[in-house]
Amino acid sequence: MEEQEEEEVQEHFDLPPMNMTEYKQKRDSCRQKIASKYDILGFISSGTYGRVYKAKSKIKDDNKEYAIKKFKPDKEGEAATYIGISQSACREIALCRELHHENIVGLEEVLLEDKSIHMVFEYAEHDLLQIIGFHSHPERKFMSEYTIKSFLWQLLNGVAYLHANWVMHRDLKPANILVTANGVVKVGDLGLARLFYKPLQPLFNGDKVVVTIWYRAPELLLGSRHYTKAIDIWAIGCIFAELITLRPIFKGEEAKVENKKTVPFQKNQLQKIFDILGNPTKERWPTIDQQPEYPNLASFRQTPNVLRSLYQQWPIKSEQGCNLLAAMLEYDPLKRITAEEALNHPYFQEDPKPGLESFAGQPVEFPLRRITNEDKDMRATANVQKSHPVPAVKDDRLTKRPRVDA
Amino acid sequence: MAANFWTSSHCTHWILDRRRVAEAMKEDLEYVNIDTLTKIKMWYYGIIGKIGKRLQFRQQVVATAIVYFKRFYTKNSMRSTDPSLVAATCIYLACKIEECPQHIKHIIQEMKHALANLGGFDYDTSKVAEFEFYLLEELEFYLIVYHPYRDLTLIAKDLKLEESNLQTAWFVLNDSYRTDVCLFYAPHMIALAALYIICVVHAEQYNDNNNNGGSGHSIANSGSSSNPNTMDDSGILGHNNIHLAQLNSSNSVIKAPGAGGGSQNNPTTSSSSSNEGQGINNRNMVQWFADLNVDIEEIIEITQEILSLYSIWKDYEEEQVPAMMQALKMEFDESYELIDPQLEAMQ
Ligand SMILES: Nc1ncnc2c1ncn2[C@@H]1O[C@H](COP(=O)(O)OP(=O)(O)O)[C@@H](O)[C@H]1O
Ligand SMILES: [Mg+2]
Repeated sequence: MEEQEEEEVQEHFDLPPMNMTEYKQKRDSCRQKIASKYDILGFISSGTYGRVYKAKSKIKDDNKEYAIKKFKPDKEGEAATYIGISQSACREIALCRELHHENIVGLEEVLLEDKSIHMVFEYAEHDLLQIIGFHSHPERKFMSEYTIKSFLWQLLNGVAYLHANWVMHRDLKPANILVTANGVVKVGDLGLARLFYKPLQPLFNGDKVVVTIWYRAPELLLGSRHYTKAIDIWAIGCIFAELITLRPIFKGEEAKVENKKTVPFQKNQLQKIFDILGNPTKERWPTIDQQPEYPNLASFRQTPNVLRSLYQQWPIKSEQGCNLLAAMLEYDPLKRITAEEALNHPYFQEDPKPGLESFAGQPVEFPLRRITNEDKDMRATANVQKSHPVPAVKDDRLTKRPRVDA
Repeated sequence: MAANFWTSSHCTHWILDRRRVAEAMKEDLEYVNIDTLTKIKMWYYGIIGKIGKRLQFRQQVVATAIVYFKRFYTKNSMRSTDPSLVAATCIYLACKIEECPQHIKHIIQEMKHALANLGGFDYDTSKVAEFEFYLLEELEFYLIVYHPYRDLTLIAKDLKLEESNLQTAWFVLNDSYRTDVCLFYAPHMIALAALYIICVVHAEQYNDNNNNGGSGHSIANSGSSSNPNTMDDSGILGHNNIHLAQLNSSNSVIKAPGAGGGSQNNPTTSSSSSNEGQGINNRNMVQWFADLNVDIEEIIEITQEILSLYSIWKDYEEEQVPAMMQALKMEFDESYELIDPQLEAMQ
């Protein structure tokens, strides 16, 4: 024993000290400052994982605008020290760096400064939450069918690309679906997205809850562990209905997490779904009795499926539109339409045909994204642009999001 | 991307030119020779593998960490950096990307254990986390890495490859991470090379053994798992029965199939019929490779690179590593003054 220890000590001393000072100095000295590359125009939003700023490139020929997502510096205690980059930021960087598609928000570059990650995205003037808000306040004014159909088609197009690449988004909701000033849809916020081709790692590992409750698929609400990309389609179905009516279709109340070990049963949310789609049966969903929360279903009252009669009161008259909606809100994830199939649905063959410029023919002029100067963290370095004042829509969907990080 | 290697960053940014890699080694080669440098690197790959085993990672996590480590050293010298900090950070980041996050403290603890005999590991959480930023930058934020394991499994299914052969090929892939082939070649080509090694090269070796009354059926005969999903990080290296190590001395068995009738002259064709039930029919495999719509020369290059690893491995002794590291890190006096003030302040 003693001999061994002596040996260890000796070898320890044999090595010259290895330090990385020189290496770091070299790297630090060639790293460009964000302020030297971008003018910060103002603050856009703050979410669970960080803050988003609007910026403009300092390069003369580059007139494009950007959104810089700054991840919260990881903190342990008071002082900001390095404690490692969050799983969410890692996922978003890894995936955005690989994905290139017209309907997926483009990542321009990633910058490191101030102990934080800054992801520089192409700028999108709108998002569906803001557009829906604009159409609902002060009074409700429905969107044109062309606009809705164009949003829906592009959203499906982006998600079909994700799914073809084995990526599940897992947090589709209006706030995460961006739209450029020209009306092009850009699916954003891949912080919860995951690759699902690695079958060796069960998907439920690590993150217990995904998808904001109103857009959460029934299999997740029933505790399914083997969920699939069909959960994204359910969310798109919910968004489709919301684009038409300007109200969330299943506006349930989230049951609060009581202790961290168990996931609460989301009775209220399921009731909201059953109220419209009727109770799920073994006929509609043959494997429903294999869902962990299946025994809880006995406590629900019986309700019929009223989706079609409800749809008839909505401003869109197309029957194919209703068929597509029903196909996306199919209880059985195996029967639910896929993104690829949905793109080929007869609804999109009907007039008005979808286009890339979703706003074409819209009589209204959309307000620009509100940006403010109130943020003290990354100060605006240029004059905040004057934008049309928009009534501040208080909506907790912007900030509510399941925490999943371990 | 994930479904399409050809559009992935791995394919478009991280299949490298050999000159670039050679450039990065220049500084190190002023202090140690290429074999020594290779051995030092092998030692660090071994550390990463050991920690992966102790923390029960899937092989893919270890492979990703090793690829990060290699990519880092295509831009930096070993001499000017601390490979143990680089290795720890690579493991930490790979765990997150491969969806099996580990607490940073856990990894530090494992590093301390693994390096107890070689300088220890004097970094705390904040140092590793800080270095993660540098690593991300060096990797150009391209974090998704493709590995040949999936390709191998798919091809094996297609070929109805015998379980034991699949397992051996799997071990060859594990060993391939100790070479730089993953920096130069597409994963499916590496998978094919592993198959080539066991089906063509090793089959000859096998048949020779068999004719001599040898008993080696699998190169890595100690593998116990039959399910590739649970295969560990074992390689052929480190097993007692390193038949492959002998192979490099008979490089002549590697012939391009179909080139100059190599397969006709193959001494094993006559004996292959007596090997019924052993799965590999050497002649069929040679034909199978010849029919593939891939660059067979490239497969042979990879094969040779992997086989030459086994020859270096033959005279690799772990005990020599401290001395090798010392040679690599040989310092002029002034560098002893260069103590990281931050580090000092923290102690
Ligand atoms: N590329 C962008 N252009 C304009 N605004 C954006 C962009 N990306 C995000 N935002 C705004 O910031 C909000 C939060 O960004 P998101 O990526 O969803 O982060 P979080 O993880 O905080 O939800 C979005 O809902 C949107 O309003
Ligand atoms: Mg969001």
